[in-house]
Amino acid sequence: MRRYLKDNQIRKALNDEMDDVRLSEAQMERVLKHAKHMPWWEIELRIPWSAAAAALLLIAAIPIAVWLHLDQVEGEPSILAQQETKQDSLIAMGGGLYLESELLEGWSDSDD
Amino acid sequence: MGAEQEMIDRLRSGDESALRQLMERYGNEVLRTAVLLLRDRHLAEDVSQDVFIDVYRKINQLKADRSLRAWLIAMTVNRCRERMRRASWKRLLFRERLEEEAGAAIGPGSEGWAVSATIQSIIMALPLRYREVIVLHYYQDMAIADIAETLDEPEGTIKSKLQRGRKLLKTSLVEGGWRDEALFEGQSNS
Repeated sequence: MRRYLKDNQIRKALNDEMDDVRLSEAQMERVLKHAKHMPWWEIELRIPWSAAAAALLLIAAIPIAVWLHLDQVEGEPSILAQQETKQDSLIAMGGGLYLESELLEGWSDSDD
Repeated sequence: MGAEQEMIDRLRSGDESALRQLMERYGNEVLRTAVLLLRDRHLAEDVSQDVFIDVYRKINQLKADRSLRAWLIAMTVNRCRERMRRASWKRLLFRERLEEEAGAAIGPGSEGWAVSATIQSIIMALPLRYREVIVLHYYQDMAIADIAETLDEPEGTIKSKLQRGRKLLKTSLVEGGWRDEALFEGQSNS
């Protein structure tokens, strides 16, 4: 049989040649088995826009809230001032370094 | 509601029987496309399975204006490209061995070519950039616009690739014993 270079003849011949190439039952079973026991990290979820927007807002709100809180703490000078006044100081005396509180131990105002 | 839309909805709800139905309807088409593109039956089987698993996983990504078949074929082509890329890395690593194998193969112009040439072997011998468009045009019976959408390339590029690919294909077919009808009629008239 003569074969000509016509598109439909080429197409038909190609289809005839490929006819024995088939996806077997075993291959289909393999796919179904994988689909049935798909690990959770392979599963794609469809997240609604509203939920995604809410999650994004929440993520953006956390650093803002932390920043506002820190700003508030910094704005309270009394706490820092109290800490500073309570801090012990070092005193150099007679070639040695002493803590002020150690030197004043037992020398309270009432003793004067 | 169309049968295809119904199948898409069932796939979206995780219905495994819809996946089986999808494989029964398009399985051979996907496998044959992969065989023609990859030139390896075993790799093509792996790719086909991966494609159906991907479809099941990513069904929510299917756009409303796209057909399930076109999406399947696009996924097959992309998976084949990925395999080819991996194969070229291997080729780079095991160069000598593959060059030896290539030397023994029957290709266009070789002694055994005219005897053994089938359309699939001729298509498989084409460079990948032409093979893709030829397979989609001749096997999938796709129009230029559809091929352009599947391969995500401009129509003009597809047109020129198809033109060049057809020329190569027809040259090889003539070498394999096919005849140009116009030429043959001319000879018989004279």
